[in-house]
Amino acid sequence: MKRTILAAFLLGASFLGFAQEATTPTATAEEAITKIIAIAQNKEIPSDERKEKLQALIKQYVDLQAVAQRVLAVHWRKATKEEKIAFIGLFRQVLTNTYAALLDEYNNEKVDFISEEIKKERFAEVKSIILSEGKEIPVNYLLLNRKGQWKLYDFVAEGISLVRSYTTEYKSILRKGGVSALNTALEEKLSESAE
Amino acid sequence: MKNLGLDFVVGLFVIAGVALLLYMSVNIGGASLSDAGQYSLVAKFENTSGLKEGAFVEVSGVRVGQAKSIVFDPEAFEAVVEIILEDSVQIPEDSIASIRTAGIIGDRFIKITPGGSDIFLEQGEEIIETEPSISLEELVSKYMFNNE
Repeated sequence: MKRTILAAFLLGASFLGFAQEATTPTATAEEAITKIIAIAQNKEIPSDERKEKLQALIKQYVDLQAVAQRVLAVHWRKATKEEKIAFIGLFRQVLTNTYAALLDEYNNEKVDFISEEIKKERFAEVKSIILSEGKEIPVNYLLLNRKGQWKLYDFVAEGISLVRSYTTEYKSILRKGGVSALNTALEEKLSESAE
Repeated sequence: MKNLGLDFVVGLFVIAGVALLLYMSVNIGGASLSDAGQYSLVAKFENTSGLKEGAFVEVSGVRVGQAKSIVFDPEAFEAVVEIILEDSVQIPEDSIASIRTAGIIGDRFIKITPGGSDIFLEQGEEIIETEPSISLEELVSKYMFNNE
C-alpha cells in the first residue's frame, strides 16, 4: 500500500516536472523512460528515424562522459583527450544501436518508480520495478548532477550493471592496446553493422 | 645472589615472550597499534552475508586494508562497512566495492575495482557503488523459479 502511495506521489511529482525542467533524479529518470517508451510504442516510425530519436534522447538524458569514464575505468586516466572524445562518440553509437534493437522487443512493460536516494549531493540512485508479463524486475537508475542538471550514467537490472557489462566486454582489448585499440575495434564493428 | 640471577633470566624470558606475542599479533593477526599511515572509508551493501570484521580488502588482488567494522543501518536496511586502507592507496570516487569469496568456499573479502575519476576519496568518505555478496542459494532458487 505504502509503495503504491509513494509511486502515485512520484508519478504526480514527475508530471509537475514536465512543465518545467526535470529537477529531481526521479523526475529525470521518469521523463527519459516515458519518452523512450513513447518511441517504442510507435511501431510505425522507420528504424532510421527511431535511431535518430533515440540518439537525441541519449544526448539529452545520459551523461556520456560519466558513462565512458566508468566503462574505461583506470584506462580513462591514461587516455589522451582525443582518444576520450573519439570513444564517447563511438560509444554513443554503440548504445544507440543496442537499444534501438531492444525497442523492437518492447511489449507494453510498465515502470513503477519506488524510491530515490541522493548521495554526496551529486549522485543519486532511483529504484524502480518493471512489470513484464506478470514478472517484477527490479531496475535501478544511477544519476549524476553536473552543473545543476541530473543525468543518467548507469542502470542496474537485477543486480547487473550496464556499465560493468561493457567494462567486462572491453577489458581484454583495453589491456592489450589501451583506448586507441578499443576505438579501432569499435569503428570496425560499427562500420560492419552499418553495411 | 643465585636467586637474583634466576629471576633475571625468568624476567628476560617473559619480556621476550610478550614481545613475540606482540609481533605475532601485529604481523599475523593483522592488529594495528595506531591508525597512523591509514585512513578509513565507508561502503554500504545490500547484503554482507559471510563477511567478517577483519576481512581483507583487495585492489588488483593485492591486500591493501581490512574491514574494521560491519554494522546494520536500521533505517536504510543496509550493512555499513568501515574499511581501513593504507595512506599510499588512493581510491578514485567512481570505484566499485564488491564482496567476493576467496576460492569456492573460502572467506569473504572486499574487492575494490578502481574507477577512472581524477577525484580520490578522502578520510570518512563513502564508496557509493557497491555489489553485495552473491548467494549461491538465491541464484539457484531464482534459476529454478524462472524456469517453471
